[in-house]
Amino acid sequence: MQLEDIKGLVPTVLATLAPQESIYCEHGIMLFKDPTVSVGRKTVQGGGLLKTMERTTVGGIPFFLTEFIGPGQVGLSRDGVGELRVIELAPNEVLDVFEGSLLCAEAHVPYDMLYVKGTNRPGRIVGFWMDRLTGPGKIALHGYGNIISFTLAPQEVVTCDMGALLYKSGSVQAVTKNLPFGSGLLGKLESVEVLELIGPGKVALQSIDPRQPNHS
Amino acid sequence: MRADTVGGITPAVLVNLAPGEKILAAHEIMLYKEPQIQLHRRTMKSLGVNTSHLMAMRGRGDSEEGYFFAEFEGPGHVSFSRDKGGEVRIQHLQPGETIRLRSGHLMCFDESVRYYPMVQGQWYTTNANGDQETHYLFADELTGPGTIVYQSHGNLLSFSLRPGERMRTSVLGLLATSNTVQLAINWLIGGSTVSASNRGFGSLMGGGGGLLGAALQAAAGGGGAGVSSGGVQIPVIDLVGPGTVVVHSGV
Repeated sequence: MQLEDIKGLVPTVLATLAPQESIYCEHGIMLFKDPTVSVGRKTVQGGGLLKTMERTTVGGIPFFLTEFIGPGQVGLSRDGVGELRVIELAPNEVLDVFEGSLLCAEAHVPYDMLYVKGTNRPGRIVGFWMDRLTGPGKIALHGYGNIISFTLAPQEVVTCDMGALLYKSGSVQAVTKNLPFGSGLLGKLESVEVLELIGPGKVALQSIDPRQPNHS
Repeated sequence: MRADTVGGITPAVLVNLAPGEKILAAHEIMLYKEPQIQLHRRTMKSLGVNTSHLMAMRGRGDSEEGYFFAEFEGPGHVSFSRDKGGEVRIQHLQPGETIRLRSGHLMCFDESVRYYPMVQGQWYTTNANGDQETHYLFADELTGPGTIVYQSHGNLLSFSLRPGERMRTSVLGLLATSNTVQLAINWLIGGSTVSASNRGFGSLMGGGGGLLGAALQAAAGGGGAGVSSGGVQIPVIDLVGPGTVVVHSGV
């Protein structure tokens, strides 16, 4: 399988599939496909009924993923201004990708989900979901705006905006925090909700928060 | 501070602060920071902006001025992004040099820069129900010495006007001017120009339109007495040098 970055303001990933080769992606991001490429349904499993209800009703994660089976080409786009990254995961390498950023992954890449809790403040209780992908295999991601990458040493910390995270290694801890905005009660009330990323591992940030309604 | 632009599509600004060095930024535009960077709250009052002025600004409806700035204290790196496409400009202001930047575009500035929010101009339109609506051109006045960083919508175009030299921009196209540039908002009606402001050239701080403003509105936006409009009516900004004018290509 080949994943090609069709660069531009709103990039597209072009997947070229051999016969019976397949990729999966979120429903509704297909831009075009050859007639020879067939479409299937891949059920997202894990966590039982309650967990499924939580991630689908609260988290907005779909019940199903879409599977494209070769031969032929299929183009996928996230309809947002940004950059695209094609990553080759090493065997057992774990990568957590921010919800709504995965373009596609090879069919044999195991898919799981990870929930990062919110700060439990009124109005900010809900955290966010990440797609957990384990190598070996190729994946493609869409970063909104520009992508800024770091490698964190053990216990090295970077503090970022809640919507800035694009992906992180499975070894990187993500903890939501309220960063006090000055002293006193007002400082607590006006505190900034941030995400603390603790190494070791790879981290990539995006310069647009995709949760903003008019982000691009 | 040392500031650099990162990326091209939706650029962020990366600021490197020395120990004890401080910068101010709008609340909640931080992209990331190193843990040794301290975050504090800085009130407008501590910057010399009195509360009544700020409340008068906010009372005009569309003003996005906050009551606080976020203050970041070094050493270390901190990055900001406005989540929009457009160019980032890093500008070093000389002592006493003043720029009036359209509100909502400022990313961060040195603590040594004097900040003051203002209304640079106003104009009137009439909606479909015949009601008059007042629109304001809000600006952040920044006076050096120090570095400021701002982001445009789209691309930036800079002009340097000689004394008495004139130029005209759309109302949404103007991003920044020197304080030496005179500004007036006018209506372009079927090829002729009608003043949309009752104060003539110069910056405004509030003040209602008054009777003259209302009369001009009736003439310009109301499509009524005295003006044979017939064509398209566009609010425009007329600028007279000397000084710098910065225009941006997006809205």
